Amino acid sequence: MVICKFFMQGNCRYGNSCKFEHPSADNTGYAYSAQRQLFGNSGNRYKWSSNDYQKQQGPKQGQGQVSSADVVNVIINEMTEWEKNKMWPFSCMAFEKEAPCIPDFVDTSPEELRLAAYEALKDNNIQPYIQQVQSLSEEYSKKRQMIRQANLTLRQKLIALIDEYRLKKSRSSQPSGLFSAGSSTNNPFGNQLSFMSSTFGNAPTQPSQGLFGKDNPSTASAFPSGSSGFGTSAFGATPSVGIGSSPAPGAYPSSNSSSQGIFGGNQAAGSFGAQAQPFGSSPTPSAFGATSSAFGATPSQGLFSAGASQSPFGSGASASPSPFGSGANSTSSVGFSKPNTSGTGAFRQSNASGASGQPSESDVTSTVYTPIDKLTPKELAEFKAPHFTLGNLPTKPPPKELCF
Amino acid sequence: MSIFGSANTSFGPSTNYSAMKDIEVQSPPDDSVSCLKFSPGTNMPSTFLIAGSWDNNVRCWEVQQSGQTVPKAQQTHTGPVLDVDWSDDGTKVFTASCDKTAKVWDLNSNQAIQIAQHDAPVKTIHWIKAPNYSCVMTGSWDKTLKFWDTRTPNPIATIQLPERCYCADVKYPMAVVGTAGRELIVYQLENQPQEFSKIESPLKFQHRCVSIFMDKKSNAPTGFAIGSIEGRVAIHYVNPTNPKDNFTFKCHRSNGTTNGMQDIYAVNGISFHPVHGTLATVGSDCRFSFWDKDARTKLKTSEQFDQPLTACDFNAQGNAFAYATSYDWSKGHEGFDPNKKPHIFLRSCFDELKPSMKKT
Repeated sequence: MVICKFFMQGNCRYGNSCKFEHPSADNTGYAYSAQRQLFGNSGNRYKWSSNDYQKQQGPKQGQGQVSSADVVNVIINEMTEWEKNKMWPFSCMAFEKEAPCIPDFVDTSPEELRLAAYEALKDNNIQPYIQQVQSLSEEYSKKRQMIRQANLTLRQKLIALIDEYRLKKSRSSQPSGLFSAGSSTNNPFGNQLSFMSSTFGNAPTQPSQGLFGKDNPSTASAFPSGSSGFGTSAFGATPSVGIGSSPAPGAYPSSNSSSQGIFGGNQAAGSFGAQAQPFGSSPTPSAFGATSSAFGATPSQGLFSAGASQSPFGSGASASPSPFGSGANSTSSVGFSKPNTSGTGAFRQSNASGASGQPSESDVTSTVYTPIDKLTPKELAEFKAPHFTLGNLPTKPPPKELCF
Repeated sequence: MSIFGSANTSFGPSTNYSAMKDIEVQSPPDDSVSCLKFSPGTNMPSTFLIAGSWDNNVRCWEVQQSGQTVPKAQQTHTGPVLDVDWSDDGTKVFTASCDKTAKVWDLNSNQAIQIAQHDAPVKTIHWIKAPNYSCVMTGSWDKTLKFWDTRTPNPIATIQLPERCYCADVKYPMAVVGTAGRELIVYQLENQPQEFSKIESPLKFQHRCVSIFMDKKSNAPTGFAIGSIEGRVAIHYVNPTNPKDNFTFKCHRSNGTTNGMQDIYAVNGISFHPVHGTLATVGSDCRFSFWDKDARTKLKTSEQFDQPLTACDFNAQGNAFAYATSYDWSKGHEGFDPNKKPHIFLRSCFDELKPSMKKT
């Protein structure tokens, strides 16, 4: 059956009664599998690798990756099925594999609940346990329902979060190949390593509470002050600092003292708040404006403070793939524009240091921007207009041409 | 048996029952079985099986060549027992409990002494035997990983975890810990335990069980299989020669009654065959399955039992597979039927776990 292209874009108005197929998470498993069906593949259903998708599916938006809007659709589907498929209800859930968890879905294991039940029984008062389970149950149903019936704001927010970590990942993963060569010998556990006694016990206390704090630590330490240069300026807080401390491309001094100060949670959050102002005129709340969102847990704070301190280039460009990217892009161009200035665009600069392991320009551009000819006239009109119209927010990143 | 000072024979006999015609272990625990561990193969005249239970007890059986079991001894915690492990020489058993302590149980003297203390229930326990040190690693819901030399009341090292410890495995020199919130951390244990890498979980839902596997040629730990509540297992090499070596597969699912939708059950346990390198999974769907990760094929799925399967293990020679049927709380307190008693079965399995012939 033909898969509905509007569904894949996330806005089929026929819903369940659509005559085209809306692939569900159930028979497909993960996000990628929706496409896999299309290409009728794999006699062996236990055989699955993430690269199947890339082999079979032509590049979409310039990358072999499901679009963020599609990921949101798959999530919505999975949330729907979760209510019915008898799966353990109190689980976190990732956007997709190897991705962060969706905020606000916290793990509770069967054993933890069981112990609560046993302790309640021991106290001869099972009531608190029953109530705990009930409220947990309601809470999770409610959260799932919110996702299932995601309004535009929530959808945008999810898409923004997905774009966020994807960009971060594409930036952090590529350099690691070059710089962590030392640790990628064939047998990681055969190396004789010597440790300072002081590191024993305190080394792994990584601040991974934030959504995006899961980067390879070796990557983070390889570029600590590179991150300060690019990261700060991207948020427009103090561009002069960003430029001043920005190292020459390819040189990555290892002192990370300054990055800590610059990316202290408050400041990052504060400057990000300011950065969101350009979108104030937008009729819908900003995707990053956490307060008005359905998930009021202000994930952006932990998200951006952690992200900035860990990923060198992630935060700089992270804002740009958002639907409201135009404002952020102009800001980041200030930060990046060291020698070759703003005219040619923010990412020329990062391409200059691409020799030291960064993603190539085409990669960056294709993820960050939508080619102008890939936009529908409606979307293009939205991007060109001074304000977005409610209900017509484009879910694709803006075209490069309109960003500068 | 000489190594057991006081053999406890107070267990009563019970009826044999298995959908798979496997041999039932005598005098099973009174409540759900949380963990099963066979004794290590080294220098042991016979094989022993340890089971931890939600009835607060740890039991030990001698397993005879015939598959018959003889109850030998038991120890008690003040809370449910969540994990057990053996010392490498097979003389001691380590037990982790919801009473926030861990104990060492000396089988020779049948004495159990507390060796660890956490601020929350201890979910995992493993014996680490390195050339220059040996210790017990405990993982807890208090979000720490602690290392104990078993003689002093304070840990020799503490590692903060990002979240509550849900599962862990140790095969020197590798340790891997899966936590709540889908965190996945690999440690290397040479000289001292040290974080090796954090891994973006290939699974989308709650981590539940993890098991390290060996490289077939070098016999060194090279990766792990991790299972989640979403009826899915990921095979993950720590340093894959090809990114495609890492993959996930669905398991422990069944076709539901409603419009062809699949019911999805948790993977409760994973165990690798010590000789073949194939693996077994047990699930909330009341079945076990055998898999060949290299050929990426399923070797066998069991009949459906009357209760979920909560734990499994292979013995050191790889000819016996132990599995426990008991309630796993996957349907909360409403799903708990106290009339259904836990069972532990032993299956002769050596041939069933031979790798698939059709290699890819």
